[in-house]
Amino acid sequence: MATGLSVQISEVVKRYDSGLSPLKGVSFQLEAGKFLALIGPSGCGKSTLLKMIAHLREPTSGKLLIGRGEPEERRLAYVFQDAQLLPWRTVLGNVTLPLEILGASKVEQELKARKALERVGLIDFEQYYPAHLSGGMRMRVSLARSLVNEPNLLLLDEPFAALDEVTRLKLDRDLRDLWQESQMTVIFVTHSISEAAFLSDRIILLSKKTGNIQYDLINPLPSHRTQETRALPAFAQLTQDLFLKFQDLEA
Amino acid sequence: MNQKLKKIGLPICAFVAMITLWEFAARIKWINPFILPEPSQILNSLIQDKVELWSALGVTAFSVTISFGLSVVLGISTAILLFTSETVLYAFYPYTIFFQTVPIIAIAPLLVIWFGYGIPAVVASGFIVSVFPVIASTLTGLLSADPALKDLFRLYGATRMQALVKLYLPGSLPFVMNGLRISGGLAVIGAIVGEFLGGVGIGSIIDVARAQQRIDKVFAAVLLASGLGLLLIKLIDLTSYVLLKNWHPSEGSEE
Repeated sequence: MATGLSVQISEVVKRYDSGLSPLKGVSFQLEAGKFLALIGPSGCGKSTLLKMIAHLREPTSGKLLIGRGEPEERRLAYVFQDAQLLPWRTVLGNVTLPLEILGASKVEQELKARKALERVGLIDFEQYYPAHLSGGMRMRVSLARSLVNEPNLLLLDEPFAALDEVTRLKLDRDLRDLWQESQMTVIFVTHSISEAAFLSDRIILLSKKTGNIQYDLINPLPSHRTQETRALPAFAQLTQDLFLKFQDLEA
Repeated sequence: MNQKLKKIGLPICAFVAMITLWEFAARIKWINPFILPEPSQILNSLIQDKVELWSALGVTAFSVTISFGLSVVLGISTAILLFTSETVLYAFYPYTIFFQTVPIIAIAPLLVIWFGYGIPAVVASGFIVSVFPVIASTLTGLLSADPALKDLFRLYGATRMQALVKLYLPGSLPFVMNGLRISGGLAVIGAIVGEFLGGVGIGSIIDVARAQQRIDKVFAAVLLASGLGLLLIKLIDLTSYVLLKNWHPSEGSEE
């Protein structure tokens, strides 16, 4: 299993032509193998920051260093808000896609794709088309696709926001387990306080007003998380704490 | 089942009723059979002139197939070319609209001068009127790819060719099929117009029969030409169904 990548962000600014500037000099360092939750109100630039970490967008100024900055060590994966599957491909065809693009052999593609599907519990659905799956299942396929190239940095942009709550809680647990089985670094963007509290090792709260980090804390919860974790007083304390900080931002 | 019966049964009943009324009206001279011959006379012509009509239809079908095939191949390739290069797109797209606006009936005589009598002029005419919907719809399809999916392909370092083959082209398929439906009908019309002057096929029969005042034969020929168009569109529908049934809502896959 590959070691995760560290992420160093220094003085990152994003300014749009419209004059809107969601990020005004954000800096932080994330150690390899950590699970970071990035939260903040809509429009605070958290998704933009994630896209910049993925090299899908350029910062106006500032620096982002992923790992040692060598392109060949980078194995990124990105999960979007909607599952974003190719509707004309079967579940299996969607999961093999990253390996196909990278030029892996057919045998390797299918072997790894089946392994990834097994990890998300969808091995019996490989011949289904996305149109015939539920929203939760589609998101699992999307997760399997992101795991198939054994990423060392997994980026997720509010992936479960559109799902019903029961499905969402279950996927949160699965994602946490998947991360613990691996050594990858994860950055998870969300606007849900309880999701951030449940999933992460560390939480960064971005402010829309200042365009900067408002709050940066280490998650005090025990590292093994189950449904019962949500009933712990420490969990209630943490979410309440985050809620108050969040409220300060709005004020 | 009941609904299905209605959907098939009612159009048939309506058809029979209209034909009967028409036949009756022509027989008792409510309408001049010289202007509008009764259905039985058209049927008669279909039987009497069947060798001539069907062989002409074969020629027309051949021309339509070639011109539609050219429209599909050249239309899609042109759209890909326009899509791949912004320079080409800006420089040439405005001129592809020429195919849509050209008055085919006016330039058909020119086509005969350029390509000679017969099938080449007919194919050119069919192609000119049917290529634009293919170009326009394919281009729209290619430009409609989801931004997040484009990001996904970039993230994995896909080449332009990989993105074209695995993302843009399959994604444009529903648009392409829609363009082909429009194009198919136009290819038949274009070919018939070409045949008026090209002197072959069903179009030529219509032209000659009209001059001989054989209105029943005109109708028989028109009927066959419409049938040809219908067949082509049904074939496109079938292709569309086979290609899209698993994933696109337009062919009944549920979201």
